[in-house]
Amino acid sequence: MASVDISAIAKNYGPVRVLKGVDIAIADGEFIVLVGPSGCGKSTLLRMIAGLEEVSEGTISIDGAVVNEVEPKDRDIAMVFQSYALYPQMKVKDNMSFSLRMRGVDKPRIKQEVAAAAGILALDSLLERFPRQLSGGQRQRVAMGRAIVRKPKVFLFDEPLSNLDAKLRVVMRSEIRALHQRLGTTAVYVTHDQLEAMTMADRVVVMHDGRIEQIGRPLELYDRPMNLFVAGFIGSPTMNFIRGIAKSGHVDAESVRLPLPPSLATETGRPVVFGIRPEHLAVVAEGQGIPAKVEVAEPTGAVTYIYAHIGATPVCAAYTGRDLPRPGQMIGLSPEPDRIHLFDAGSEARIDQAR
Amino acid sequence: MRIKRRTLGQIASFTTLALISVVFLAPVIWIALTALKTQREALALPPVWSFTPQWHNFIEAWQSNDFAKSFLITTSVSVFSVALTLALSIPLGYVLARYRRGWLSAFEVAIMVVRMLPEILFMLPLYVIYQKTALFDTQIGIILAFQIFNIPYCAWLIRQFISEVPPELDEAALLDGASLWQVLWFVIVPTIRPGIVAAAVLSFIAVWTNLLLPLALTYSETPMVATTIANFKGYGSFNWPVMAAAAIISLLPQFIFFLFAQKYIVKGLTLGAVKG
Ligand SMILES: Nc1ncnc2c1ncn2[C@@H]1O[C@H](COP(=O)(O)OP(=O)(O)O)[C@@H](O)[C@H]1O
Ligand SMILES: [Mg+2]
Repeated sequence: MASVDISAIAKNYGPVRVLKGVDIAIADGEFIVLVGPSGCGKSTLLRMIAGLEEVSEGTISIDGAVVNEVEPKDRDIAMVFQSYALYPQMKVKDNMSFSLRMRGVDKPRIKQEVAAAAGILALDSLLERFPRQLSGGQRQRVAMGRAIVRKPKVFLFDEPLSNLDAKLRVVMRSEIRALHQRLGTTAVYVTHDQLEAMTMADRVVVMHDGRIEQIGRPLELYDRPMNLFVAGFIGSPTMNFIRGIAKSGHVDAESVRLPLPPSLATETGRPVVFGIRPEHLAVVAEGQGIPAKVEVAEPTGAVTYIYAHIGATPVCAAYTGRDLPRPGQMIGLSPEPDRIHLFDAGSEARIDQAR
Repeated sequence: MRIKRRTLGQIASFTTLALISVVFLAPVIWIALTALKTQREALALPPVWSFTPQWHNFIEAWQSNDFAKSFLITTSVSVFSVALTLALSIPLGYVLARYRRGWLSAFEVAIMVVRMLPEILFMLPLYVIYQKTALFDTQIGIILAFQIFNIPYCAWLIRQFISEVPPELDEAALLDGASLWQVLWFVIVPTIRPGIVAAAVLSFIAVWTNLLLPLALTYSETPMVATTIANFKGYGSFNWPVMAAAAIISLLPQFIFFLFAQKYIVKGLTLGAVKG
């Protein structure tokens, strides 16, 4: 168990700067998820924590001690790779015991620890198999078993579920969470899937282009995204954005007026982006709310996603009614006032943040 | 129609393969037959096809000149030479596969160039050096000389095999507390075993069949099979049957080694299928 401090970390690959100053303070026992689009530097950061990648600038500390120059093997960190990286010529039990053998743990204890880890992950019946004789999900569990068997200070996960099918992914998601609750070990988990981040994290770190956009609890990110990027990245379907000019009490967007609650009053004439999530955009009768023209309705069961246009801007509204509007039909859309987000069109920063 | 055409294709390729095999095997069969003939039968033209096998040719070959001695020395030289080649080629191949640096690529090209140069180019300097350093006509000397030719090839071969192993395996092992040597020994070597066996077989055969190096760098103290057989001609007349018998004997170790290694070599071709 350990805290991890990432301070002003930068990474250059030759002339290319892939991490541009990153700070994260991870508390002991926390489950942190790094999320962001592919190529934003998540794996690089994770590998720097592991010691597999050199630090160009800044410091990484574990339990208060700077580890920049510490070899991976001396950091007491376990990592689960996307490809699982199981040793192909070793049986499951030997894969799991490898780290203990490398540390010279005596045989009876190795046996005991492997049995304990296998019990936790329900791997008992697979111990004598080789990795090639396992399914994708089983390999995933073995990779986890290998990580937990030696009780490291920190777990690192690099997109561990992305090679599994959707159903298994959901199962493993909660299983990893349960495992974390049971072991209480500090964990840093990388994914590009915002839903995975939201469902698993104590705190989510949203990264973009080598920088941190926002760090916060899942619901904080959802309720108060600090900029356009986070607002668009968290939540599915994504938040609707409508560009316009702030006026007193509303936003002027092309032909329509988007009502603003008093709390979001800002100087008139300021170019802004009006943001509202599909689930906070109610479908009302034509003539009420903001006029919109229906493009298509996509029922998913509990909700139907209505894709429509406000002026030329495409929007999506989540609708729970059963009488679906037809394509081409005019409807009204009504944003929940206290769920409206407002961003500066230039800086893309959230406008109510000074409140 | 289609089935017929495929059958025709199969017959064609089978015939081609059979013809190629005959072309390659003909000299071996010729030598094997010669080894069982008398000197007169061996030289007869057109060749004699029915004769009484002269098994004693093999005993005579084993007992003549230094053949028995050279057989043992060649075995010892090839075993130690292969061991040394592997011990050096595996780490070298690992470095070449895993570390991308400008000078390493240059080094890689350099060792391939060494490999492509004719062996004879190295003979004169080696001869001079060996005479001055007491390496001449010693097992150690000839073992070291073989490294010049076998390491570049084996390191290159092993490098190819290691390139197929995902680097995450190394990284996982490093995080599991292994040192680089332990990564090599516990993770890389077992994973590329087919490639290592292939390298071992090829360098073993290279040692057994090489004539030039023993010719230049050894004499009576360290006779090698290849030179000993070549020297059979030195005794007045050419004793073709005995020479052929010696040649057949000298094929045996290579054949046995190859049989033992065969399943690994075939596996080596399918390595990609089992990784991950
Ligand atoms: N060894 C490397 N050399 C050069 N560029 C690299 C290297 N590894 C990663 N990159 C670059 O760094 C950026 C971040 O990569 P990565 O951390 O793998 O992103 P992510 O995991 O978020 O998808 C990418 O643009 C990638 O091309
Ligand atoms: Mg990645």
